[in-house]
Amino acid sequence: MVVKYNNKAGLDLSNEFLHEGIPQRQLKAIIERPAKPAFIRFSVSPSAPEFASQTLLKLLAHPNIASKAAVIRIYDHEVQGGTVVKPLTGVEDDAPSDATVLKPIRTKSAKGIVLSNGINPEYGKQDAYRMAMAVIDEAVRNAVAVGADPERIAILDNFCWGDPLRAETLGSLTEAARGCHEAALLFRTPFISGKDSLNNEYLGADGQRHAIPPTLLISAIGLIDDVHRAVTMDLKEAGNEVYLVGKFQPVFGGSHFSKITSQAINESVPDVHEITPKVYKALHQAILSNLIRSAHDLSEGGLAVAAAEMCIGGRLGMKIESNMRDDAVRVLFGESTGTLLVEVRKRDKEKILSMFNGLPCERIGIVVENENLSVSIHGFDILNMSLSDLITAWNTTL
Amino acid sequence: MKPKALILQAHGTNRDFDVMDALTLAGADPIGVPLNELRNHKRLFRDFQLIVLPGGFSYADALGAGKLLALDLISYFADEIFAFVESGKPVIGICNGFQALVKSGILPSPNERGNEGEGVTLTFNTQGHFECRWVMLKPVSQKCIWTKGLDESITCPIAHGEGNFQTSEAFPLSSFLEQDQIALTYVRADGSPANGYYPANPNGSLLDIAGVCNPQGNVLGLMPHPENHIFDYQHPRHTRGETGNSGLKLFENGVKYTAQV
Repeated sequence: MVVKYNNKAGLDLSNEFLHEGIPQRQLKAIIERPAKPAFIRFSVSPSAPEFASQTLLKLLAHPNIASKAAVIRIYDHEVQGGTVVKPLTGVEDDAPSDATVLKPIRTKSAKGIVLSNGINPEYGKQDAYRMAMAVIDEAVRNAVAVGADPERIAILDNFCWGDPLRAETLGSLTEAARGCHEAALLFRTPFISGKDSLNNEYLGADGQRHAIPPTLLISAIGLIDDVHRAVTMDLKEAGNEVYLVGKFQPVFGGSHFSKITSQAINESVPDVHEITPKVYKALHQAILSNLIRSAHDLSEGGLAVAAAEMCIGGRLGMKIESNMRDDAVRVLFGESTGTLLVEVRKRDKEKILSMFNGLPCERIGIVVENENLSVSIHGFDILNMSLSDLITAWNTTL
Repeated sequence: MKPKALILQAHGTNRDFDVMDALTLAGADPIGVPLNELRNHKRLFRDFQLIVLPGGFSYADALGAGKLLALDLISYFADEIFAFVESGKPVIGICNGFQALVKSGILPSPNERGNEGEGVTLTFNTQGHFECRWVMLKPVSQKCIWTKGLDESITCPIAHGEGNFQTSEAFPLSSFLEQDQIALTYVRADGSPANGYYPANPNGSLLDIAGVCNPQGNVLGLMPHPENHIFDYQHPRHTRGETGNSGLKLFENGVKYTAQV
């Protein structure tokens, strides 16, 4: 490239230098393999139900799980009149929606846009690769739960990481990128944008510089063909049945259960099962066929928290009776990717089972008029809590 | 020939398109008009059959919500606006629009030109912050052309930080009540009065007042957004099969009335 002024060359650079000449940084990444997991079994003891109740209340009150109404309501989420599924839903407008459904103003068709997210730095602390897989799954799962078509979802990434010049930090970043690549291919969700914020470090009590926990936020945008078909997570009617769909593999690594009880901290972080995209496709078909009265995904806090939130939404109770092989505490509070609780009319039992056609879809309970959440695993009554206690724990923190 | 509705657009107006959609459904022909087009006489108030001051954060709420928009109205358009009001043609101010109508002295009684009416204002919500939530409104005034004959309550969102309707001792409250100027009040879901209790009354307004009209009844100001509930899918519990109590009839009232003026 030559630039002349009054016939004198002011600039004379080779294009190769200009475009290819920058010296490439050579950085070193050390990938720390997660420690070998140690599984713990919680024995069924007389004190287990008391422990389970107290744990559920503590989880519902934890700032990461508790109601964000105090923050949500100071922003205008109604302007342009297109918020079809609102951030807080249910009988009293106080239960947490999985995703939002928007009908853009002035559009003529019934099509809507779905927006959702996935984030879990607790997983990142232990296994950045699995965290990336899990949070992409979470964003997709949240979108599918309200009615998005799993085959029309795009995602974007937001990395908040420490200093990449530290070899271990670059190592976790590389692992997260690997997880992003594999999850995007597994779910067939293209990354359409993203950003990063690096060099987030702090001075610890030990006087040393530390990186923040590896944190990846995935946001997803999906399409719903008819906003009138949107699904919300509040239980709708007593007598309907509750199904657990998706491959349920509850573990405690990076779980909020471990965060509050300090137990089972050496377990592995949940991974994503390859069957999950098929599960979401089946769920979407079930939604299109009007079989799903409500749906809510399992995330922080596990199945107990998800069930409690659905009860809060519908101001209805739930009676869970399951013969699952895992111990009761694991069933209630273990965390798993790719799973949701869905509410189905009794008369649609055959239809839903045939729609899932061999994919994991297990009837685990019913919606009840009395305002109680009760759980019985292998005949052992592990939980029996009043809705008002759940609501108080959920609504008080923030 | 559909009645033409002027939708006033100021810097920071954000619910112009929302209310345009409501008015289109109600049978009017809404036209968005930036304030400057009225200033340079590209558009004239008198060419319209209905005026709307929509919601938003005009001038970023500097000096108080609606204050600078009110100054605009009085400084540039006092004669035209008061003539429009006196002619009896319908006027509606929603949220920020209501704030501007109160702070320019047009509501509740346009007898003091340009001064915020004696002893009445819309101030900060009692809870001390902006809030967005759905409320239930009871149409009260039979003098107000917008609420006359409405027998169903309206559910719609509020989204404001300064919606607290208050009066001082100087304000003629008894004649205000006698003249049927309370247009809408906040009520509980079952229709019973909110009696000041949050969140049924979402901002602490005196007597649960959500909207007021002028003595003539053609100018309505209200804090909630009925224009954000004109379709079934906007109802917060539509997935539970709940529909109805939309804000559309309020706009239909206003549009129908243009034929009588």
